[in-house]
Amino acid sequence: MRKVLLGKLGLDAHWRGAAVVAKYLMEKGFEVVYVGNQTPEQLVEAAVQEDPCMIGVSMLSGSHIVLMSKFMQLLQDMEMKDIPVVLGGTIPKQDKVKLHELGVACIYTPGESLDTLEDFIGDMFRLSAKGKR
Amino acid sequence: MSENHLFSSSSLCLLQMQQEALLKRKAKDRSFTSKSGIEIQPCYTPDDCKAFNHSQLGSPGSPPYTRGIYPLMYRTQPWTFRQLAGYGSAVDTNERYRFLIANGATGINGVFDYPTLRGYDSDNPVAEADLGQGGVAIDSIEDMHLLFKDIPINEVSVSLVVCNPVMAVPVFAMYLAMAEERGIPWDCLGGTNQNDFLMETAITTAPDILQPHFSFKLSTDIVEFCAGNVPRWHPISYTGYNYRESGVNAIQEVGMVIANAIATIEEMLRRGYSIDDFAPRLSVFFSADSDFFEEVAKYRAARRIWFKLLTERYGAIKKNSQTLRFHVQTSGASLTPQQPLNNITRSAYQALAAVLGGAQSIHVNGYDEALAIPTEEAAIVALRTQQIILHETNAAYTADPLGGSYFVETLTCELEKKIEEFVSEITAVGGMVAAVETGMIHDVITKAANEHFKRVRSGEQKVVGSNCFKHDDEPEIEIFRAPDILQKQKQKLSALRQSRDARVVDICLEKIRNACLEERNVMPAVLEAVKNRATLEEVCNVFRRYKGGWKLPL
Repeated sequence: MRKVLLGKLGLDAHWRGAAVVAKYLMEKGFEVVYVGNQTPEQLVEAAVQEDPCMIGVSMLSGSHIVLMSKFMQLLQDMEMKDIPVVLGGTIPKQDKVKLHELGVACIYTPGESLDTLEDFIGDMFRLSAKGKR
Repeated sequence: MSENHLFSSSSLCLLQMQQEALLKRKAKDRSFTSKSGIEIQPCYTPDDCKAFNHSQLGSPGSPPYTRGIYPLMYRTQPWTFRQLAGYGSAVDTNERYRFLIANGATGINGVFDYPTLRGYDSDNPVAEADLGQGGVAIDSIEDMHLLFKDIPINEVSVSLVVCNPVMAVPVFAMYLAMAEERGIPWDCLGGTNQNDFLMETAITTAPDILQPHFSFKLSTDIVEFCAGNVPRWHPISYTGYNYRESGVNAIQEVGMVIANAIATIEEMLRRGYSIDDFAPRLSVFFSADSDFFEEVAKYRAARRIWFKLLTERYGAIKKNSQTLRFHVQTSGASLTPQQPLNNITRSAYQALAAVLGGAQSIHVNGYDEALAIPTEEAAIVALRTQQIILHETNAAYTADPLGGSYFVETLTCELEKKIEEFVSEITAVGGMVAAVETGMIHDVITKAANEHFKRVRSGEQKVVGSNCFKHDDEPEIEIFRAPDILQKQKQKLSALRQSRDARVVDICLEKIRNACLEERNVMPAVLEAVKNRATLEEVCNVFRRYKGGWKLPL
């Protein structure tokens, strides 16, 4: 089964979004491993352990630039940059470019109704059919 | 000609009838239910209110307080304009507090950053990225002095958003110790702590969570300490608002508040207090969501349930024990990052519902809060919204203006019944602490959040600007950025650690540990520790080492 690793970076306290996305992904046939609050180091370590096909990060604390920069760098150091990273939460529009530059594959914010994520997963499946991952 | 006229008029009539039938069919196909699932009728008559009689309603200021807790309501007791504020360092937030007061805010509503809310000092690597985000960073009593510098805390009512008991204990202790060092007696202090164990164990998440029964014990320690020492303080404010934000509906919001209050009351009675020793200071924090009449009815039903509970079950005599006093925040989760100015309209209607429902204090959200914490401009628009309701709409001239409405009274009775049923479900699993430990509450939240999500996603629940009436190209709006305070906080902490007597701090922390082990009230030991400059994290670590490591049953 395709496995998704889902977590929150830093001390952000909101879990509703992550829980809703977890349920949604499970209904789409994914296995979801939710690891709760993690430091960037811990989340990369979890990725090493779980070998997921996708990593989801939920952040509503405003510290997404700092923590995602660190996380994406660590992921690269571990040569795991090919795992697509999806970020959900309160992400201001002006930060999206920077986050995409860091290598975040998909970003969606409250009210986007997961369409962005759905399209993204659709694309990923097609990629996967071509044997890329 | 006349024939022709007759013909056209009858066909017109037929057409009208067909149209009406079509409309009725359409109306039948669509369900008209409140956000909590109560079916709403096209019209209400006296027949709908059979369950309702005048004794259930009473007058404003009289039992069962359905119509409000004061006889003249806002004529004599206008609600407090209590706008949430906090970011960056204590100095930054002190400036925002004074800015709000200068602009007509009548109370302080202090929110803390993520590390403070979970009891981590600013120099802990876990805390660094979240410093000063979403609230103010407080590491020690020195920060508390800076936070309230030049603010007359013996006059202004201060709400401390210390939601998690793990940090409510040390941060409230810092507040009390700060007042003492300023020479202000504790009986002059008016204000509120959130101090709700559900916040720590069910509503929010963190790396190292206290076991629910221990978090609950800490919250009750504050209630007990205030009963004897800080008589004008509300030691607890059950955070129905946050339950609601996490996904539950209006019925569950109030039901969880009531069940949680029952837990506190039972524990205080077990500790040997009588109900009127502490119940006058229990308070509540509700949400104001967008379902206008359901929200108004919710506040009215909650007051009636509280009165019945406190008098019939617990025999409370004092009026302040029998009356439910509550703060309201307009719904943050209802706001959209798309077309953010629409949020001003949403928040204004929500705040009006709170006023028509008889709230004691209100926070209106900034229109940009789905994106970040509010800019100064957004904070002022929110405050002005309250001032417009009070000074321009005249909605506050008369108490409970919707009282007697067939619809609102019926809805109030229906909500009351359903809330009491939900409280019984929690009682059936052994009360609120057990309901958290077994994961029942987490289940309720997750289910409700998923149902809401599906309704929004399918379009059944319309969200203007978000799932309908969308703009293709959303303009960027100015975003508030919290200042970088890491170096400043680190310097302050290192100066603190150098200047204090480390040996005394260790002894104090040991005393807290002993109070935990011997199941005594921890407040006296924590007060001594923070006066001797123990930091927030040092105190919280004592609690976490004793009974931490709990995992949310998700």
